[in-house]
Amino acid sequence: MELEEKLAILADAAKYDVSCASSGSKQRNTPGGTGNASYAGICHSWAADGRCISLLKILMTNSCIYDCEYCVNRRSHDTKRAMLTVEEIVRVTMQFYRRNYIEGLFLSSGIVRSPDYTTELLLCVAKTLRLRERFNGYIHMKAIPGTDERLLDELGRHVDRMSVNMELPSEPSLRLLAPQKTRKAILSPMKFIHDRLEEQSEERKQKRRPAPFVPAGQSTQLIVGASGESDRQILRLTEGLYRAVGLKRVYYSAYVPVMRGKNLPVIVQPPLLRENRLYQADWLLRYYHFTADELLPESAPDFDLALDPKAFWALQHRELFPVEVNRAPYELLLRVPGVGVASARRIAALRRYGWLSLDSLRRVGLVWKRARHFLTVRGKYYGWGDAEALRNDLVSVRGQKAMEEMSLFEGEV
Amino acid sequence: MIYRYDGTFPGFLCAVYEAYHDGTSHTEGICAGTAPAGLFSEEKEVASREETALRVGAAFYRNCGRAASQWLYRAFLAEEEGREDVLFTYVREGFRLKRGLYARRAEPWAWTVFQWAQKTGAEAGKLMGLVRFRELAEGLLYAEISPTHDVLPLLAPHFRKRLSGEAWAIHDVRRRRAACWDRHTLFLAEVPERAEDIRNSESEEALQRMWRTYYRHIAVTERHNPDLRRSFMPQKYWRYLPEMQERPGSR
Repeated sequence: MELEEKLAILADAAKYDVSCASSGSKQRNTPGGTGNASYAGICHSWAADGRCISLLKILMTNSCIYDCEYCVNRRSHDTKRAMLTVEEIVRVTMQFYRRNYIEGLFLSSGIVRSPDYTTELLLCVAKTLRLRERFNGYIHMKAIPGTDERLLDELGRHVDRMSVNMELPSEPSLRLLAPQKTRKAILSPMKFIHDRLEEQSEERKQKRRPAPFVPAGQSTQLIVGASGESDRQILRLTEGLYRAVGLKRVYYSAYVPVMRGKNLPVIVQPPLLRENRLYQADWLLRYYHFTADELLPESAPDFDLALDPKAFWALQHRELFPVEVNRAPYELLLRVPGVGVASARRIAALRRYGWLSLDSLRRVGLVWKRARHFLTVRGKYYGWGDAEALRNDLVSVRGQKAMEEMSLFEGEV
Repeated sequence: MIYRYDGTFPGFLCAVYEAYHDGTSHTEGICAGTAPAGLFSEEKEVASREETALRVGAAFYRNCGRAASQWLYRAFLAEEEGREDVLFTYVREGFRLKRGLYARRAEPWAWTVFQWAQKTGAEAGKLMGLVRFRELAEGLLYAEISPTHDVLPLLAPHFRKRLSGEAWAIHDVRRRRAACWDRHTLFLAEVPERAEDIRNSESEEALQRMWRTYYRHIAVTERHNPDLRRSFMPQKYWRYLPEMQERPGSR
């Protein structure tokens, strides 16, 4: 099989993994070496689906001993299989990188023979790139559940990021759709990486410089819409993962119905809007000091798809608003719809030099159309208080479109 | 008095120096070499001298700090219409207010500069990803760009670090300049004419084809969203991207 055909098959097999980040590592170039990492990450292209291409995201092989029902690479799926050799992966990575097509390599794989065997091959790729080619760009690799910890430890020394995909957000759906996997098996490599990172930060506190170990941390992915979990369940799981194992990112992947299976839902379109709402909520957890329970209390376990989560929350907490933009504490400013981290910071910085007027406020880059309903400026309120009108004004264009489509299809199902 | 300079950033700083030397109250404006002369104004030709430019630049840095200096440079590189007058006001206010400049950022004269600087920075950031090298027959990595703002001076240091072991050149076709790295030194060169006989290396075509194949296959068909792609990757950059060139024979 030609290399080009292998690339096609294995890119197809890898594309449902949504992680694309190349951020979080400060790796510098070395004399005679190639590449470095950009701490903020760099996007190199955008595919026809609008998603960014930062890393060469590819599977080493799409053969797999497992038979997970949702997965395109499951053993029982009748599809063309391919496998890249270590040299092929290294060559393509280096040649793409030199031409500035990519920021590095994101290598995942189906499980061949055993988790240990597969990880050893991954490790061989990482070592060849780092030691022989002296490649200092970004490398992200999968930590395969069931791998020996010594192997994981060694792999972690050569890569910038590792990830273990949870895929299914709860134990019951795991039993249903991926009967050969257990939650414990998925969590244990995560836990191991977390413990190693903790050890490192301890060492650093004692003014030692430990050998590098996954400097960009670890991430995971959850499939949304393949099983019956509520938004609340997913978001609480996310929060738990950020707190307990210190993940850098949780990715959400709207379930794309490429596979048929007796336990899979029948859907026409991937739930893209729901995925988008979860990402927005994820940001609220990480940068806006929200908790999952605040965003989705037990009484309302799912988001209103027409509203973004922050507007959704603010509408349920009308008693807190409006707040005076010149007085409100930073934490509360962050909770105002239409105000982001950057604009909240700018407001906090500018108001130290005098009372903000409406004019200067509109220049700090907030979305006035939304924020006006929740702020007063020098005591004056510019929004409208009526709940219904307010909601209509906050409904996002995208949400509105989705609503219209849904009402069109209603009655047909 | 109108000060005429050569259109470069050091030249602009020298014009600022001259204006201060003569007393800023007499200054009517600063303009680049090609702009039409006023009928009744007195003109002064300012020669660009590195030493003078460094002095002005360092003084501004000392007074106003790193961020404000960066805005000045990047706003200049944005090449917006009438940049000299706006930037001269900015520099004057900077020397007067010193660190107090930051508190006045929301005022129009500073805001414009800040906006221009952001535009340049954003385009430089985008092009760090979108520059595409191809390997020439001699082994040199060669890329063409034609950015809206003059981002070449911001791109070159990035690639010097990243591809220090390669010889490469980034050619700004619009401004007829190229940044070149020969594994030891980085220099800017004027390129008056585009060379016609640029030949790719033997493996170049195959690699570009592989990249195009990969690019096509990594997109999820069910999520097809060309508008979103265009908003991230504006069409003006497509010309130099191998993945956006449909070749005959490729599906």
